[in-house]
Amino acid sequence: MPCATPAPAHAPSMLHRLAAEHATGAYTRAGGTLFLVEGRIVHAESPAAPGLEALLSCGTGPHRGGGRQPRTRTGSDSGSAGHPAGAGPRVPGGVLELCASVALHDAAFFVLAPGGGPGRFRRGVRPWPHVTGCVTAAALEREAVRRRTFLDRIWPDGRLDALPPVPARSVSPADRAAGPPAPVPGRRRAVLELADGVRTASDIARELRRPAFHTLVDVRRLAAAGLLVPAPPPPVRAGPARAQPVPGEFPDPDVSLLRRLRDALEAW
Amino acid sequence: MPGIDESLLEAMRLPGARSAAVVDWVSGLALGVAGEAPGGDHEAAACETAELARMVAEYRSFGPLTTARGPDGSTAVPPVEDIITTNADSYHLLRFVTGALDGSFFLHLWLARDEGNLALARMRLARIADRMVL
Repeated sequence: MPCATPAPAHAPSMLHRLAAEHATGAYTRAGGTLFLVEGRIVHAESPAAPGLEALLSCGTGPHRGGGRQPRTRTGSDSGSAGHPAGAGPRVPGGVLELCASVALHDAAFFVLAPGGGPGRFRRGVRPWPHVTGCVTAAALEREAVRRRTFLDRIWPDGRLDALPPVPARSVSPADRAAGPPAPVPGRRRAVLELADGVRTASDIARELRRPAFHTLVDVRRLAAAGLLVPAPPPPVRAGPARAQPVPGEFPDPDVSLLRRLRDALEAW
Repeated sequence: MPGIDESLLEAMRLPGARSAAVVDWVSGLALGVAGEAPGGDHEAAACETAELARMVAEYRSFGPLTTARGPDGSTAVPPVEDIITTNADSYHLLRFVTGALDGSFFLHLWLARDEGNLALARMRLARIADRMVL
């Protein structure tokens, strides 16, 4: 399988500039936030990616290491990935380091997704209470681009990343003639069982306490096997008559109000 | 409880070790590398070895289809412990790391054939993999 890594194509230029300036702060786009310390990314958060705590409890059964607690309990595990302060003595150093690195790239994949906007930077903001890695912006972007290419090589349907996957109901006569379907490995069967047309890939990841990207990979592989399709997007509601504005009837925008709003947002 | 770098350094102390890496086989991400890159590119090597590891981990021919479950219901040991490939002058040894993230990590050791001892490397890599999650 060819694994050549293409050059970053959609890299937000602001991130390049911040890395070159050795800036420290929080860089936010539509998909989440990267935390920079002296130009390097030390932590990433995305609502689409389960946090570090969720990953630490994934498949860490006590079958080795005799009796260590597999789960960490330090508050919520939704979205934000902070260092599990109370879990320190119970999580092995190697596992913590591995999962932290996975969590950072997992969230960064969504932050660096194309179409996330130029982003905004809050200088001086540091991740609390801990950093989860230390990666250059170039390496992070290279990995995000490689991941997008990787997904499309498995099954080129980007709708599956955002729309809830749903089991494919109809099996074509050609498929039936090809014999029984290929067996689904255990980890993918768990994803297939949760694909109900309501949960997105990120929801399934959160439920299984797995990295969101792992679930995206599994969803694409299931789609390639003909077992999942993206749920149809919700129908656009036929609005009342005013949903079709007549051109030229907009009142002039309140420019001073918009300016004040922008200033307030930037100062925040 | 050694971290990534300590574990890779320990692997590199094996006689004949050319490189060592820890890789996530679902995504193909190299989480740590040491030594010279197999094929000249650590990231490409991680992708390629991840593809091999995935096939062996998932294909029924190499083990049971259903991953065994631990007593607490968590996903336990992957059906395969390690993968060995040999060529004219070197060995590649892949060891699955169990007990973290649904067993999606493995260690990759590249060993020069004339200096390395495959049996010793296999035992040592198994110990390193176990200690990473202890």
